[in-house]
Amino acid sequence: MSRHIWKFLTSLRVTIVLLALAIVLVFVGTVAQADEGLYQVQNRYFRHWWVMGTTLWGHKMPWFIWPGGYTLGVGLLVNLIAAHIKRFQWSMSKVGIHLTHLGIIILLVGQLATDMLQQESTMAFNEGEAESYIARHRERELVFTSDAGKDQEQVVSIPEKLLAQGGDITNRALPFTVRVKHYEPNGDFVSNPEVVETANKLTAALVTMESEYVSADQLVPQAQKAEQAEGRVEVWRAALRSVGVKEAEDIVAAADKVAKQPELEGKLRTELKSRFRQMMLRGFTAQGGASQAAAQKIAAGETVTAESMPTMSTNGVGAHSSVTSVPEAKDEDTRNFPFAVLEILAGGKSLGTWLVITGFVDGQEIKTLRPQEIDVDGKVFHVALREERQYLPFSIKLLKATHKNYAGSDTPKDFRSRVMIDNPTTKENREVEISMNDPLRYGGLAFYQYQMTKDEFDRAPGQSILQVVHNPSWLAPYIGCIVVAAGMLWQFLHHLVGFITKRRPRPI
Amino acid sequence: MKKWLPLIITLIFAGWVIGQAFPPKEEGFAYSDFGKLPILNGGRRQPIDSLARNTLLQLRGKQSANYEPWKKWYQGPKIVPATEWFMEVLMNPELGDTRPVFRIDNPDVKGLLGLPLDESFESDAKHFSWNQLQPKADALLKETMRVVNEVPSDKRNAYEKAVFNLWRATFIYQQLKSSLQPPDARDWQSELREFIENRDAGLAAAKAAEAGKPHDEAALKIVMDDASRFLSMERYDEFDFAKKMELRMPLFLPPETGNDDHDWKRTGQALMETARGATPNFALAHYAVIGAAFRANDVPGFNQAVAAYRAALIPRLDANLSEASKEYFFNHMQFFYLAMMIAVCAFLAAIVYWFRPVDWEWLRRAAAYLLSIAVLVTTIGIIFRMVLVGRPPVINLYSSATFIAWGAPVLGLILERFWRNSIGVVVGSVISAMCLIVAHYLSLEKDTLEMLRAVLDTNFWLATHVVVVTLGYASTFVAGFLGIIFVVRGFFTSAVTPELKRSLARMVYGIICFATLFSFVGTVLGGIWADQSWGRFWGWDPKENGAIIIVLWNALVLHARWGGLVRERGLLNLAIVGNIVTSWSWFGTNMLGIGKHSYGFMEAAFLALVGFDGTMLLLIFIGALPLHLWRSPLEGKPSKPSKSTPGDAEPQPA
Repeated sequence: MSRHIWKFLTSLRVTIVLLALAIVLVFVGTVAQADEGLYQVQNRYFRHWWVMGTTLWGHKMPWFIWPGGYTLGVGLLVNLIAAHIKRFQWSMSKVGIHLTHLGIIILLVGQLATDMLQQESTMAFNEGEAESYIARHRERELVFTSDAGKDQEQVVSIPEKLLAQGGDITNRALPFTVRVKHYEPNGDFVSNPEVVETANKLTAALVTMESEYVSADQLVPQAQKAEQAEGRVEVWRAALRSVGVKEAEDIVAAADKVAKQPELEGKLRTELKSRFRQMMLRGFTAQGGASQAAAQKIAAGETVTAESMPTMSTNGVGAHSSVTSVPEAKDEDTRNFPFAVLEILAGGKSLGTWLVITGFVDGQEIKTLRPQEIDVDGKVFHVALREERQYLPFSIKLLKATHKNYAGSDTPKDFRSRVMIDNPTTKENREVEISMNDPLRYGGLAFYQYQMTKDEFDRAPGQSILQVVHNPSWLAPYIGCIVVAAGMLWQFLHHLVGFITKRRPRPI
Repeated sequence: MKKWLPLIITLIFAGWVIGQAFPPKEEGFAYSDFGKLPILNGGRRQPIDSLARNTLLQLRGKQSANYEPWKKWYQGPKIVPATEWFMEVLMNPELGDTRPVFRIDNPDVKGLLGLPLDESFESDAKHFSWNQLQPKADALLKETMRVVNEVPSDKRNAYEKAVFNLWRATFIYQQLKSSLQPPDARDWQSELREFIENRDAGLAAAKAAEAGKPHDEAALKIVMDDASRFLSMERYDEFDFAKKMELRMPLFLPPETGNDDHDWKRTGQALMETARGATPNFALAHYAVIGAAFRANDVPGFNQAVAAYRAALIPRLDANLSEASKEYFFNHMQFFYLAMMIAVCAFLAAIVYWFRPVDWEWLRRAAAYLLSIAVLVTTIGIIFRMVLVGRPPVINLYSSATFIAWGAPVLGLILERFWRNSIGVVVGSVISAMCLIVAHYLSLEKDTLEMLRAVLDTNFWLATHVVVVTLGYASTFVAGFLGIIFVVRGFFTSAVTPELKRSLARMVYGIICFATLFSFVGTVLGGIWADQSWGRFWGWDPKENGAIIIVLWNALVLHARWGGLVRERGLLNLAIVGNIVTSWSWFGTNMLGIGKHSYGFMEAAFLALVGFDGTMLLLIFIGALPLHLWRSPLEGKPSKPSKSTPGDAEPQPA
């Protein structure tokens, strides 16, 4: 029995089957990216034991069940090691084969290690700022900070995972219990006063607009005014056509004609009012945020006042803002804005509820979402849901951020950051330049220059973002590559020399 | 005589290539001198000629303009070089507006613009002038905005793509009309002079007006009109919608002093600065004289003015000037086109050699020599490009095609050297010609000498990772085409003997070994580059996956051979599968429209890829048919399954 297993494990046919399975997996995992996004594909296909179902070219294929990246990687690894134990021979003609496979083992193991150990974070700062922590932008933490005296702060951090589970959370350092009333992985935040203000503005604008079409004699002057504005002419023409005016090219002439027909002009005014109303609502909706919320409420015929707006919590920002839950973003580039409503219980009674949300709006932390105060028996705690931080034993200061485009074009040419490392333990205090393709490796971390998009750059010109990677096995691919290349080169040159000498006609 | 034939044929072709380097002397306007003038566009200094050619490529997919497209080729339509057309656009746009240079194929787009759908008098219903498009330009813009804002780029249908492309072409055209003179200028030389003469008075008047003092109303009005006119030129650079698509105007005016790329100016920009009180850029007056002479059809005046401007540039931008001349020469030579023609000739010669009635060894040699010339011309082209951009040979999809068109025939010639049966020539010339045709189509997309984005700006990785991966593609293709030759000749002709089969299998085996090495090392180097630039070795991005599939595939083929799972025919058939795998990795991955490596979306290329892969599948099917259906005598005494351990040389049938 064990002989059969051993034979199976060392079989070359198994190698071939595994390679074929891997080719299909990689192919499917590439095409599926168009539908599922890179991030989800990585997790579902390559960093997983089994692939359950796929979507190719827009077609759902739930019956597609296939061994995942881990299964095939481990399978190849076992097959490779077993085959070598069985077939290992020490001879010149085999050195290349052994080296090649040893290199592949290094690569596979290294990749597996990277998968498990690698952590990616970011460091974002403005010129002149120094940072001593890195943030994991995919992980969030709920933190309670309180003054511990002597310029020290006590920080209690609770991972987002616990929030997602719900229930009560207690901690020895916290004199209260945190009850998670509500949690969503992604939400849209609007501030109620802002919505009310926008809604008032929009209502006023709608009233003004409608007052322009109260009577028939307003039609011609309005048409003349509309002629000056690009978008309005089209609305006029559409409105004219919908009330049955065929020749709508010259709107002033058409308006003049219609104004003289009492039965038609009323219809036209109603039509114009409703069309311009729709246009304004669409415009506001397209702006997103508070404008969108306001437009939606007005479109639904609701009156918008501070009282009519829903609130999220009894205390803090949640008392005058609302969050609507939106589906979780799956791709790598879109951020999620998780939020939670917490009830704080101390001494058996409730102190009220608080809304916590992480979020960046236009690259700036939402101002109203700064840490919120909770007063527990005279002791002040600050609560915030923020990106998980890891504090470093050193700090990095951004001296200068450079972003260059090629002259007369928008093609990015060069991104670099000049930074100063300040490490009190080693007394290091030196300047370094980080640019694309030229990372800084320091303190077990690698700092890479991130290429900001044009929008990001325009919004915050003095800002620089570094991607920070912690990967203890980063050298494995370098070593693996060299070993494999040497092995293959050895083997194929060995063949080639044999081939050429064999072909050469032997002297008789 | 036969001894000399290959040499004579070779010399004829070499003479043809060299003859291209000496164009006949121009009569009339010195178009080529104008075409050699340096400008800055897309972040790159280049001759006007390059911009002219690239613009025409975008407008009509050709590097020349046809003013009478309704005439058939034998009726001698008036075809003019890019620069000649370009000069009209820049300096005589009323005439330029009448030239049918916008190619429109989509009937719905023609409908949108109210253009004739059928051929008629002086219209081929495909090419239209700006004057024909202009009346509905607003409708085109509106529709384009709808497409851009509402339809994501990978969801657009043929009509929406055509709308977008046409709008882009018309916008570029408008930009160019405002690049050297205000588009409404009728006598730019004197208009410019009057503007400069009036400027100081106008500025003084403006200052006085602001302070509420009495001022020269006339001078103020003139300077304000001038400024608004120049501002409207600048609007084509500032238009937000176009800016999002990185459509920026070319910079025609070189820096007054120094040689910093960032000091080049757009004409409108320089005029605005002049209106605000700056000294007018020296090139403004030169271009005004050139333009005036061109409009007045004053040939000697024009030629003198161009020469005078060149003379003015020499002390300032000598290096740029010679750089621009080099690129002009490169554009003019069209090395890759020449190489393609010669490769096709080599292919024909090699095919004829196969069907020769008697032994025409001279023909085989001639074919090999011709392919060598093609390789030489490709080499010159690639080196020329490398010098022009100061980069390794492969920087984008286009140059990867030219590089495969170099690598495959080199490998083919090496095979030919050993086997002398013209198989190497056929394989090398077919791949070379095909890749050069692909390169031609890719060049229609954009400037192929483009500048590289920040993350790609590293010669070390471009020279290692990209070159090695591309060699991997080239060698996998060579192996695949050897497989095709086996199947086609074996099935349809009686030319394949068991010996030939054995040699083909050995060639394929050896090449796959090296293909594995190249693709593996290249892929891992790519991972290391990624690790160096954004901190992750492997991210499963489409282009990376494409590369790893080639490695896995080649490894699978080698192991199948070592394990005795396939024999010679099986190996050759698997090599053809390698064509599918490689073509998908090289092109298919760019068509997913996602991933950091995607170069651009190609519609027609997708159909071509499907066609290519379909053909390969058909060939594999034929290759798997039972041997008694084959015309070649390969049946009988099947070679015994060769079982060998990896590490032996190519397994030989026992």
